[in-house]
Amino acid sequence: MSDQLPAELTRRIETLEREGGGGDLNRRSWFWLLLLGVVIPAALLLWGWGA
Amino acid sequence: MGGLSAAADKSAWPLLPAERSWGAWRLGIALATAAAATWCYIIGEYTGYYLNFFQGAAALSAGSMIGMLLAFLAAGPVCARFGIDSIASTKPQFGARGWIIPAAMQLISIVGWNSLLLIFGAKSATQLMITLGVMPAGFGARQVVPAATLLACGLIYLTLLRGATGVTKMSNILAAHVPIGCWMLYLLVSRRWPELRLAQPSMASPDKLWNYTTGVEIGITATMSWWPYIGAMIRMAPNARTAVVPVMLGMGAATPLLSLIGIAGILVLKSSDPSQWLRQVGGPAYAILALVFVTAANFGTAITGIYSSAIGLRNFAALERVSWSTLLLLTIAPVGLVGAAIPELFFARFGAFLAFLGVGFAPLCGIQIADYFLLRKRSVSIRAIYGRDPASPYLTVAGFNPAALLALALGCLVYLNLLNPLTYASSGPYRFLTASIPAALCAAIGYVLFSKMLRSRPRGVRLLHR
Repeated sequence: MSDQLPAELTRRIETLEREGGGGDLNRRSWFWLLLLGVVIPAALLLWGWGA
Repeated sequence: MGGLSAAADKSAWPLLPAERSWGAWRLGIALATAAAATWCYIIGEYTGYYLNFFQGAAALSAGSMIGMLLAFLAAGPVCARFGIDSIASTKPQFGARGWIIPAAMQLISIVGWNSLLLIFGAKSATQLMITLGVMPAGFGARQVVPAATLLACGLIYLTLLRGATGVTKMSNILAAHVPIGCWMLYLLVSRRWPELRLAQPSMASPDKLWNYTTGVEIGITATMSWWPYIGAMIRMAPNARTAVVPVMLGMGAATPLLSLIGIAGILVLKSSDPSQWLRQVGGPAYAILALVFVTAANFGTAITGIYSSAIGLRNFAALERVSWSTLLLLTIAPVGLVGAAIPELFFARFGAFLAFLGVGFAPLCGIQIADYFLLRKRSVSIRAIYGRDPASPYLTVAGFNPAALLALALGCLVYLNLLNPLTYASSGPYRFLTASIPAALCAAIGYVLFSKMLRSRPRGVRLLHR
């Protein structure tokens, strides 16, 4: 394995380190994740068990 | 794909913010197109073996969304922040060489899923041609399926020679098959409602809770095993925030919605393949329409899968400089081989394939979630992910992180102890907890504990941004 990174890859890494990448999850993201990944599945399970 | 360079399009390199042009709608459509294939019918079929229509719909929907939550939390934040694929996102946990373990899992998952799609499409086409008299009876799947699978592989290869541009164009065209799937579901439900309402599953256990949990487990393992697709798709989005709703609805909700076709089909007509039962319900014209739908849906999804897999293979140093066309060929070849050599055997073992995916992907998701949110507290060095410096903070014992390997083994053991993938025999807690959720949880806890014990937590991780 060569230790030398391709020039284009190096440029991309430097750009990301300098400018930063995209943003992380915020409060709104967590709201949607909890709603769609926890609350709605739990509600569906309760409804389905009684169906 | 405006602004995305050809090199980045066909490599595993990180995408720059200016290149990530997919908004929420575009991402959601691409993900829905990837998810909404005929595997949904088979997923629905297996659920319909254990549960009636209502319980199957509820359990599968809940399981799918839980599985998607786990897969997104595992790979999503890092992939969306840095524009990298799912495999690259495992280097912080598994080490500079240890990532080959998730890479192997990805390859098995994608080859398996796409073989299933192409075999399903070929079987549907064969069945319909025999039914319509185009092909003589007795001239069956054994001759046609391998040839049709190889033909599909060739078409996918040609489409993907253009890189992700091919994925985008196909997504735009094939997104239409989601409403067509809803129409097929409406047709079946509206015409066979009295039978569907009363239909009972053929393989249900006397234990109702076990049946219900198994429906949830099928949903979790199905969507969680699409972990490779998540990274390959959401790296095109500008940030993690944009990706949340498209992932959870585009993939997590579209899958159970179309799986209802499989549940209803197997309960009422004893077949999850719409190209077979639509002829019974609506006549030959509907059957032809269904076949076109099945073919189109499979084609779109297989394209996305092969693209994701090819990008993942780029992480191997030996394949870094291989031409895109050669890489595609290497990716498609195993799919063609399975479809041509053992189509019937593979198709009959779908349940075992699904459970084996859970064995591997549940612990993997647990490890990634624990690493990103608990150990690293969301700080990841993009340079260390791609660097080959021996002093890289992600290089541990010979490039492998023992904590991750031990945690993976622990998670696999927990899963296997709760549910046997071959026989579906289960032990006590399974009926209350499923197998995937405890496996993910134990792997996460194990990873944190092993990391602290082995002091393998990376040093000098550069804080980029949160």
